[in-house]
Amino acid sequence: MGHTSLILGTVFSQLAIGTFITGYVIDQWLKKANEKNAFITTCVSFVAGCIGLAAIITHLGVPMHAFNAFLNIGSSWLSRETLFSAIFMLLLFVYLLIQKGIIAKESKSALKGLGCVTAICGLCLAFVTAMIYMIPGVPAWNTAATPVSFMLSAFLTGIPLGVYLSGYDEAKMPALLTGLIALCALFVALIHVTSLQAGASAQAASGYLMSSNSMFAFRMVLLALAAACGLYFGIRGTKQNSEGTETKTQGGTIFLLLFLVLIVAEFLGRYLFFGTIVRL
Amino acid sequence: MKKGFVSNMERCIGCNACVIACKQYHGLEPEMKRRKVREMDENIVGQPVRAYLSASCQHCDEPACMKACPTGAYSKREDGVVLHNAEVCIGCRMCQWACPYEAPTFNPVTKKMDKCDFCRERIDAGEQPFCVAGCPMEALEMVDMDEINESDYVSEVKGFVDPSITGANLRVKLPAAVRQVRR
Repeated sequence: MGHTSLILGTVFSQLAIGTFITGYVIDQWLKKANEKNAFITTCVSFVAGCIGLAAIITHLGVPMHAFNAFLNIGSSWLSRETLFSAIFMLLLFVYLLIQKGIIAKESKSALKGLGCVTAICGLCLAFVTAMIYMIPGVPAWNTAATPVSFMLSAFLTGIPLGVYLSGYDEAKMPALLTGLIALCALFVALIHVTSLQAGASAQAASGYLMSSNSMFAFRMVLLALAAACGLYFGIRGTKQNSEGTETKTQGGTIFLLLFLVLIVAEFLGRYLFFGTIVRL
Repeated sequence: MKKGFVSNMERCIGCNACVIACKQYHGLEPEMKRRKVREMDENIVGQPVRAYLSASCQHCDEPACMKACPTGAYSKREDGVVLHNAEVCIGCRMCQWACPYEAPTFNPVTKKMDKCDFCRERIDAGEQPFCVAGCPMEALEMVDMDEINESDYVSEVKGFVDPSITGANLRVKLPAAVRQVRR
C-alpha cells in the first residue's frame, strides 16, 4: 500500500466536494434542511477536506515546504490543484462560519452566492486533480476515464452522505441520482478495463493487472449493488407513512448504507488506480 | 549547441561502470541511480544478440518533469541541459511520474528528487561527464545534437520508451546483426 496517502487524499477531497454540494443544494436551493443539519453537513465536508489535504501533504518528502507547490501554476496541474484546494477549503471555512453565525450574522442571504462559488471551485478541484494523472508515460491513466471517474467519485460518495446528514426526507430523486451515477461508474470502469486490454503492451498489462485483481470484481459487485438499490428506491420510493411522505428513518438508513457501500467501492477503485499502473 | 548522449549498444557490455562512476562522483545514496543500464530484448535487431542500453535523463526538448513540477524546480539551460533545483523541491515525486524514462529518483535522505545534471561543473570546464569518462568500452558519448549525423543512429529502440513524447536527446547505435551459422 505505497500509495495510501494519495488514495486517502483523493477520495476524501472528492467526498468533501460532493457532500458540500449536496448539502448546499438541499439547504439553499431546495430549502429542505434545518439549520442544525445543514451546519453538520458543511462541518463533515470541511473535516473530510481537511483529512484529504493532510493526507496529500504527508505524501510529500518535505511537507514543511508544501507552500512551494504554488510556484508553477502556469504549467503544473499539481500546482493548480494546490491552488484550488486552498481556495476551496478557505471558502468552505468562511461558509461554515457564516452558516453558524460566527461572522457576518446579517449576511446569511449571501450564503447562496458563496456556496455557488465554493461548489464551482470544488468541481474545478476535482477536475484539476484528475488532470494531474493525465500522463502520456502512464497509458492506463492517460484516458478520459480518469477525469470522468474522479468527477463521478465526488457525487457517488457525496450525494448519499450529504442527503443522510441533511436529513432530507424526499428520498426518491437522490436515490435515483445515486443509482444512475453508480451505474455510470460501473460502465466507465468496465469500458476502461476492456479498452486497456485491447491496447498496446503497457495498456494491456495494466488492463490485465486490473481485471485479474479480485478487488476489481468486488468493486463491480458493490457498484452494481448500489446502482440496483438506488434505482429501486428511486423508482419505487422508500416506505411511506400515513401522510404519504417518506419515512425519515428508512430513507436515512438507505442513504447511510449506500454511502458505506460506495465509499468502500471508491477506496477499492482508487487502490486499483494507483496499484496497477504499468509504465511505457 | 544542444547537448545529448549517444549510447552505442554495439560496444556496451552491460558492465555498469557508467552507473558506478556517476554514483561515486555525485555521492549518491546506495538505492539511487541517475543512470540505468537496461538489458534489452535479444531480438532487438531481428536476430539473437545480447544488448544493453545505458540511459539517464535525456535532457529532452520538452521536459515532462519541468512541466509537471509544482514548484518550478526544473530549468533548461541554453545548451539544453535540464537542471533540478533541490532548494525548492518538495519531494512530491510528480516529476518521476511524468518522466517517461523515470529519470528523476527520490533521495531517501534529503526526501527530495535528484537527477542527472550532465555533470555541469565538468562540462562547463570542457571535460566529459563522469559516465562518459568512466565507460571502459567508450560506448557512451556526449554529443552536440545539432551536429551529429542522424542517419548514423536511431532514436527509437524496441522495448524502450518512444522518444517523441518529450523530444529526448538520446541517440542509439544498435548492435549489428550477427551472421548465424546453423549446424
